[in-house]
Amino acid sequence: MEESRKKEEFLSLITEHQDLIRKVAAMYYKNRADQEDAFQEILVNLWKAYPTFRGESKITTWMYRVALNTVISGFRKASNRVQRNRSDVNISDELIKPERDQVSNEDIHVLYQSIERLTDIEKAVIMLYMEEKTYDDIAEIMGMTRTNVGVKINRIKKKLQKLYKELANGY
Amino acid sequence: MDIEKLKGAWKSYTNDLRERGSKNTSELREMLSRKSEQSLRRLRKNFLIEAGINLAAIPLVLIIVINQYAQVGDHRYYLSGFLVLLLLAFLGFLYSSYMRIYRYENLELPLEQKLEEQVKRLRVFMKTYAGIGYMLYFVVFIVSLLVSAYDHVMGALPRLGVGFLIAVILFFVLVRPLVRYYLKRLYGRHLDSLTRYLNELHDESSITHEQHD
Repeated sequence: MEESRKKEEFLSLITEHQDLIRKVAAMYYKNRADQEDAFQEILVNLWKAYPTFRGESKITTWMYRVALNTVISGFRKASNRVQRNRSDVNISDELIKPERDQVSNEDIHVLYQSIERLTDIEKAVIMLYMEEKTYDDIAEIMGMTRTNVGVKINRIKKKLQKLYKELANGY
Repeated sequence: MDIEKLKGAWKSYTNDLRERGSKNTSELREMLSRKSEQSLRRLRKNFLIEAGINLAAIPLVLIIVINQYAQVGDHRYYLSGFLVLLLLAFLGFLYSSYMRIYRYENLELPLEQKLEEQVKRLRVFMKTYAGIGYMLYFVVFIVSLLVSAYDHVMGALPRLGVGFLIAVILFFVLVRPLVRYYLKRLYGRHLDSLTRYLNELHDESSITHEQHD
């Protein structure tokens, strides 16, 4: 009975915050099938971790932790990450919309390609930054200090600018 | 090029994701039940593949020792029992190590803490795995040598010495590299990537230096 109540409570939380899982999956996996697979994997890990959630942090902070733990250090995923990334469908293509102007689309395409060249940890940090999480939240999710987060974000911005220039110049 | 531009694009993209793939509670419930079973099956499969060699070795040890070591009389039953116990203990070690490592997949821990625990446990597991493998090799080799000279151990000392020397040479030339290669193939790459992530999260010293600059 208790188990069933907990499950319903959990499912209602997930229904409300499922975008978050989808965003993490989208950051790390290019094609839809892989994203769906990652979504399911994260969902199961959230369910397994749910009994340890004591409400000491925000629900979204907890969800980001488990989701990023799953995609970054998941035992089963690491070995086939490279293979999974070799897909034909590219998120950067999906980001392009006809209603945006040509220059803007090109910028976004190249910038997204630059993000794909970041390390897994850098991707996590920049994704949380794009989600407008505070430095304290990012630090709590990643287990880093606030200072470390700040410096890392600056470094990633510089790295992205450099990568962007290289890609824009056709390197 | 400003990163703020990407923020906007990211928002727009993730809004599209919501429109495309939003699931209701019953869809999520069904997905969760299906995937939980799959996950358990995969864990069991991984463990069984890893333990398969050891499980297959148990009847093999019994057959070889009982049929080939007739010269030691009833001692062959104790001997086979001892070897089977060693293999079972190894199996138990594999199982408990797997469970300990997998445990960290499902805990609500900050990424850095989780990586630290996983790296630590994976290193210990690999080291212990290799150690037990080497020990088993020597135990089996020495027992075989002693059994071959059961009635005249003292007279066969030079032969046993040569046999032991061969065991040591074989260990360095074949057994140790093989065990290391096996462990590297199975777990090494994963350990390397976990360590790389951890180092990336740990680069406090360079950050402090950067701040002073």
